[in-house]
Parts: sequence; C-alpha cells; structure tokens
Amino acid sequence: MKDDEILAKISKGDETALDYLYKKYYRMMTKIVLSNNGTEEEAKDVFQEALIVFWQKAVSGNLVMTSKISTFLYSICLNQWRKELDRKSRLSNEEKDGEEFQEHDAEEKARIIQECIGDLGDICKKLLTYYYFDGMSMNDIAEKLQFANTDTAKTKKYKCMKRLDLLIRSRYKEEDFLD
Amino acid sequence: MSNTDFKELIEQYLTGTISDGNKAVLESKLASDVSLRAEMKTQSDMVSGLKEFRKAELKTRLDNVPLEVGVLGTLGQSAVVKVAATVGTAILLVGGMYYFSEEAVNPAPEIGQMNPITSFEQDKTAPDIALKELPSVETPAKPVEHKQQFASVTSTSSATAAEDIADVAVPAAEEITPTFEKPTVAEFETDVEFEVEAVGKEDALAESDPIEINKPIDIEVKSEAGNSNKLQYQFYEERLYLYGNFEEIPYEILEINSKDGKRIYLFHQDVYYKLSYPTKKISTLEKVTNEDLLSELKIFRDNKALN
Repeated sequence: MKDDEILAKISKGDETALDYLYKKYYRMMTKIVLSNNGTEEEAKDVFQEALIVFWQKAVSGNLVMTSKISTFLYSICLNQWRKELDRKSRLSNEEKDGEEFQEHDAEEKARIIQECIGDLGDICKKLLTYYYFDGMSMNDIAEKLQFANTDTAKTKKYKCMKRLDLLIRSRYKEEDFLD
Repeated sequence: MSNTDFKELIEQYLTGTISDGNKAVLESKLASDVSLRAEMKTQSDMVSGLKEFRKAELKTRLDNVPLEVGVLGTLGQSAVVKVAATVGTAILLVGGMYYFSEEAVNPAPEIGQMNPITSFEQDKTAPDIALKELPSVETPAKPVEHKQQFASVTSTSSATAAEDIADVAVPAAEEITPTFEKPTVAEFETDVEFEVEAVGKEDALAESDPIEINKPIDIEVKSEAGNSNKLQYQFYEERLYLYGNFEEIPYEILEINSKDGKRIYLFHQDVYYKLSYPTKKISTLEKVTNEDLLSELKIFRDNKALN
C-alpha cells in the first residue's frame, strides 16, 4: 500500500491502516529503542505511542505530510525514546516527594472514570472517543456511525456526556462513602 | 456572557479550538467563579478519561496484530497464519504433484503475473493434513518410478501475509480438486506409486526429471536487516536466517527434494541464489549461473504461480 492510500484510509477512520503500518514498520522502529539500551517491551511501547500520535494527527486532518510516513514515524519514535530516557534519568536523580496521598486519590478517580466509560453503550463510547481523542469532526462521526446528520451526532454527544457525568458522580460518591 | 457560553468555551478549551481572546476571557472567569471551575474540572477529567480509554483501545488492537518479521513466536501463535500456512502447504503439495505429472491443465504464466506469497511459518501439522486432503491416486498402468514432493515457501516483509496466501491458495484448490480422487491414508503409508490423470494441454514441464519424495525439513525464515548491501544466510537449528535488505523487496525460498537430497534456492530481485544446506556458518549468497538450472528454477516458480 502506498503512503497516500494509507492516509486516505486513515482519514476515513479505517483502523486496518494502523494494523498495516504496525506490521510493516515494527522491526524498523523498535530497532531505534533496542539499539539504544531499551527493552523489547519499551521498544513496543514507544512504537505504539508514535503510531497513535500519527493516527491522531492524520485522522483529525491536522497532518500535512512533507515526508514519507516511515520517516515521520521514525522521528516520533526517536523523540519519544529521548524523552523517556530523560524521564528515567530525572527519576533516578530525584527523591519522591510527599504527594503520595494526592496521587492515590487522582489515580482512584481516573480508575472510576475508566470503569464508567466502559459501562457506556458502544455508540456513546465511539462517539465520544472519536470526538475527543481522534479529533474527528461531527460530520465525519455522523457518517461513520450512520447518524441521520451532524445535528443528531451533536445531540447524541451531549446526551452521552451527560450520562457519563452522572455515572461518574454516582460512583465517585459511593466510593467516598465507602472510604 | 451567559453560563451556557462559558460551557461552550470550556468545550473549545478542552478540544484545543479556543481562540486566544476567548481563552483569556475564560481564564479570568475561572479565577473568580468556583462553580465554573468545578465544571471545568469535571469536563476535563472526563475528556482525559476518554482519551486514555481510546488510547488503551488502540494499543490493545495493536497488541493483537500478528507480527511477521523477527517475532516468530508471535507468528506461530497466530490462528490466521496457521490456517493460511496449512491451506498454503496443502495447495503447494498438490501443486508439486500436479507439476510433475505428465500433463497439466494450464500453461506456465509470465513471472509478472505471479502473486507473491508472503512469509509464513510452516505449521508442523500441515503436511499430515495435506496428505489427508490430497486428491486422487490411482494405480498406474505404467508405474511411475518416483514419488515426488515440492514444497516451497515464499517470503516478504509485506503486511498482508495471510491475505496473500489465501488469495493464491483458494482458487487453486477449486481448480484442481475435480481432477483427482481422494486416497486413503493407508495408501500413502504403504507408498503406493501413482500417476495423475491427464486432463488438458500438454505442458513443457512434463519433460522434467521426476523427483523423489523426502520428508520436508521445517524451515523458518527470518530476515534481518544487514549492515551493508551484502546478502548472507545461515542455517541454525533447522531455521534459515537471512541477512540483508529483505525488508522491502519480496523474496522466495524454493525447497526441492530430489534423489540427490535437499536443494534450496532463493529468488530475490530477479536473481536466483543457491543455498548450501545445512550451513551453520554465515555465508554469502551465491548466484546461480548455470543456464539449465536457471531455466529449471524459472519453471518451478512459474508452476507455483499456477497454484
């Protein structure tokens, strides 16, 4: 598949293009990490992150390609791994401060939010994640999820957010009470 | 500005579409309005959660993508690849029998028409299944003196391994099956000789020397990018390792069992190479220059494309 075919697929939200890129460049990209003191697991993480960044940019239409996809992915992987190495070296030089309680509280809330998102219906999950993560337009979402029109998508999105908000509020309070 | 307007600004803020002017207005309002700040925090938590959720979903998807190159363990675990390998091997065996028959249905196609099969790991159960599914064996009037087997593996780093294998294999099975009858397993076990019924146009390949069946040795192919343009290989623990630029350009492995033993050739960028088997040392690929052998290998590849 040529680069422009891949980009055309991604612009339609076709995730098989992502699978294709993952298979095609796995070895090439993970080598960046593996040959720079990284483990196989770290290499995989870096490549997956890079691919997802690329996906986000391409699917939302915010990407103007001036190079080959492989070159683009390569530079993201390189940057990601440099950042990770910086983070690691900072972590080993710093002592942990006393904010563990707050961190725990935030993690707990994040966990509850993930649970609540998981409990939403499929349509809500897709609509909200396509909108907030993939950055797809309401028009594209309406087309992909086969809504009558953009207004239907907007109304549905409002209701889904409301439902998620209610779910989180009810569960977060329950957990507070239990604690 | 109404509360609804501020909620709209929060939405724009969270999706990164807010203008600089509106951003300043929102920040100033947030500094003084506790309830709007709480609203902002709630919305922001939900959006962060949704982003995390989607990211995890995409990562799970990627984790389930079967990898072909350099991750042979993963490859072996892939049900799709196993099925494709099984079907592919069965068809290649049928293709081998068909090729060495006295007559064949179709003439050899041009190389350009060939649909390359991408890399797969041979399933250990594949040869058994292939035998059970093999079509027709008849006791010949003039017994053929040799048994034959032709197994080949074609490999590239292309992402569509399973699809390509399926594409080649399925139509071939449909074409060939009607011309044979099913044998019993016992017939194979007792090494019954056989000949294939003539079904069509005479093929030039019929002149080829028959080849004796040897049990195929499992060969796994693993390409590794080399440091130079040199193409090298080695066999290690029944695995063939290739070193060089095999990532982008398809290559094929031709494994031939003859009376003189196993012969292995590699086809890459219009050149045939001979592989000494087994060679544990890393060796440079040696080009085939013998004209007769080259034409024989070309016939092999052409015939494989038929199946």
